[in-house]
Amino acid sequence: MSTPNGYHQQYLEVDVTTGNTKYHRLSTKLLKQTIGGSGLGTQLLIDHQAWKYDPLSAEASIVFAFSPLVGSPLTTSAKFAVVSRSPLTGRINDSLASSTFAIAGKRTGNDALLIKGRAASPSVLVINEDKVELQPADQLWGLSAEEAEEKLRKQFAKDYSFAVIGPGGEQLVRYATISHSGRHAGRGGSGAILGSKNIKALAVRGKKRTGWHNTEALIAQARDLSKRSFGPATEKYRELGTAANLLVFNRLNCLPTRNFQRGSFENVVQLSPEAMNVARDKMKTSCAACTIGCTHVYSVAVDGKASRARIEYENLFALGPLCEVSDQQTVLQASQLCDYYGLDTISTGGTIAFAMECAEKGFLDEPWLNFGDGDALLKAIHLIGQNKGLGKKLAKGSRALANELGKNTIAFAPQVKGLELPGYEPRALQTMALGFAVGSRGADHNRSGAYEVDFSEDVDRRNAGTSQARLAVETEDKAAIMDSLILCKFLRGVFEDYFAECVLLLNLITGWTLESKDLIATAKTIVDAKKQFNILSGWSPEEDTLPERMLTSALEDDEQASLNRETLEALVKAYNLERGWDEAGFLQTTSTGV
Amino acid sequence: MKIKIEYFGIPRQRVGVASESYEFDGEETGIHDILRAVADKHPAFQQHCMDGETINKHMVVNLNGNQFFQSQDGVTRDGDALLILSMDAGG
Repeated sequence: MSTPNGYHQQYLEVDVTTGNTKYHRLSTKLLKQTIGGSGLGTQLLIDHQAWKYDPLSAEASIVFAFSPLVGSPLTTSAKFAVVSRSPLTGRINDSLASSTFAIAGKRTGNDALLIKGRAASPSVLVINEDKVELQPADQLWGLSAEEAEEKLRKQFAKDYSFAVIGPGGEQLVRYATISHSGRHAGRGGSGAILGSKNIKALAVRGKKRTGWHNTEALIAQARDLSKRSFGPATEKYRELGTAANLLVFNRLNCLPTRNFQRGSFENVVQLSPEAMNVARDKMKTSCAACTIGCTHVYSVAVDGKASRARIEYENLFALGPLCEVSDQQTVLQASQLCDYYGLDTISTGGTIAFAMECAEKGFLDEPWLNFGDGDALLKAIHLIGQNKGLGKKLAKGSRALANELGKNTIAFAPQVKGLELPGYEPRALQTMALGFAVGSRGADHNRSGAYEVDFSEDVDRRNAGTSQARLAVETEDKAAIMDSLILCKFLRGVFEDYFAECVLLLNLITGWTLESKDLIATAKTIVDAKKQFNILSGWSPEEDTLPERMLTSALEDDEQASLNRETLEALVKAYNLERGWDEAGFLQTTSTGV
Repeated sequence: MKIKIEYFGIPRQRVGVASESYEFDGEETGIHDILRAVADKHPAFQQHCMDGETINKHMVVNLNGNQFFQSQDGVTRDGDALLILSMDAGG
């Protein structure tokens, strides 16, 4: 059978201990079943039994997975997924990023790159069409991802693209990121995995292109999609960025504040993009091949030097209200520091906010670490990035810190399965509470879009019922497809008929004749595969829950925002049954070959 | 009756204020009528946030921080706050 358009129908396995490489064929059946990105990466990890190994061991595998849409003229399609067992959670982790790395990586002639082993010394893994080699990276070790990438650009030919870790990844911070032109594969600690393998960077280039089945129709669709991406569905992202959520969430008491004790923040206005737009110079940037341009970069002076900081809603929430820090300059600087070290801002802010509460309550003897203290926030980030002092404890995340401190501090550690919660207060957004509880990679707003349900007239967001389980499943299925095709989720409001339009794009590229129902079935297969990986790695039903405090007390500033264990358990059970699993969440059958 | 309108995201950008008050006759006013009044006062709101006589599908309204309305069938009473915001969250 011939190779479908959009694919090379192979992936590359590299053992960086030995330098050995192996090319594996990917069957058309498997590609249809997984598409690419998160779906393909998860399946490859299952095939390589990655659930068995400590994520930071030499035996562990990490996959960079591309997709059939990469390299096409479709807006936002220059994306790739990094998939592994997470060193933060011990469960499946897939983090996505956009950059030319996706295009150059795919042009090496591979639909995915699987890396295992451990290099003898800091190295750059260089992959092109006909050669794979390790080059010394001693000169890069210790540099920020941005600094290292700048040096690599000078060292390598212009057509190379890079994926790089910062000092956080080198220091094995369990929530270190992998960076690409300033964008991050952010959650779950994939940067630490590269660090554990002594891989400072991947450098990729190639000229191998995959064809498109119907070029004329694809270009017409791409033009139409680009045109729609300039419309009202994405206006908020273009004009204010994701940070536009800040004031809305604050008004609705769903802005996590003071380590999830409150749902609103008194000094929120000065952190809002509306205020920053007035107070600071701003420039907008886009990811590679994106027409939306949601990235808003603000000027910030540090030690008298002018510089810039990228701001997203999640940075603002985690480094601002969650730690009760209201100074605009400090929050921008904190965000910049996370970029410098290569740290996930959500887990960084969540872990520090938790530590602040532990210090306040006398569980942690760090009297300098106070809510609202911007200098303490910055100091803590430095300690994490350098893995020094208290930073050694914070670098393992809030769950590990709670387990070390004991005294039931785990009750208010802001995490699910070890992954810190993003900026959606679950008691005030209870469909999202379900999405967090059952998320395969932990508390997650990118794999479950259940908050969309809470912001609709379909439900009472503070009084969830089991009928919401179906709605939560639907948002998760859509995300599974988005993350495997791969397209940016900010396009979702652009689609009139989501699955029909997505399957059309896939068919135009591959020549397949799939229908919407096939894509929905694929989404379920992908979600099942992630669950299967988790079960194999030791998942138990008790993990599908929320921190105890969220199930035993209402929000301090909104007594209607209250959720109890019985309600959440009923939601989780309904979700499991809606998925076709048993009540506890175990698969009835598996299509993953394990 | 007096209603407070609070604007967030794109509606705030177009209207140019965070909030304003509107007065209506009677004890109840439909959300549809309130949106009509806002659109009449602010042409940019009509242009960017409305689709003819109804709010466009990328916007949503919320009453007093509680119930969301996309159908605009809701009714407001004296002292209510109506929030008008961009639809999508995420980030």
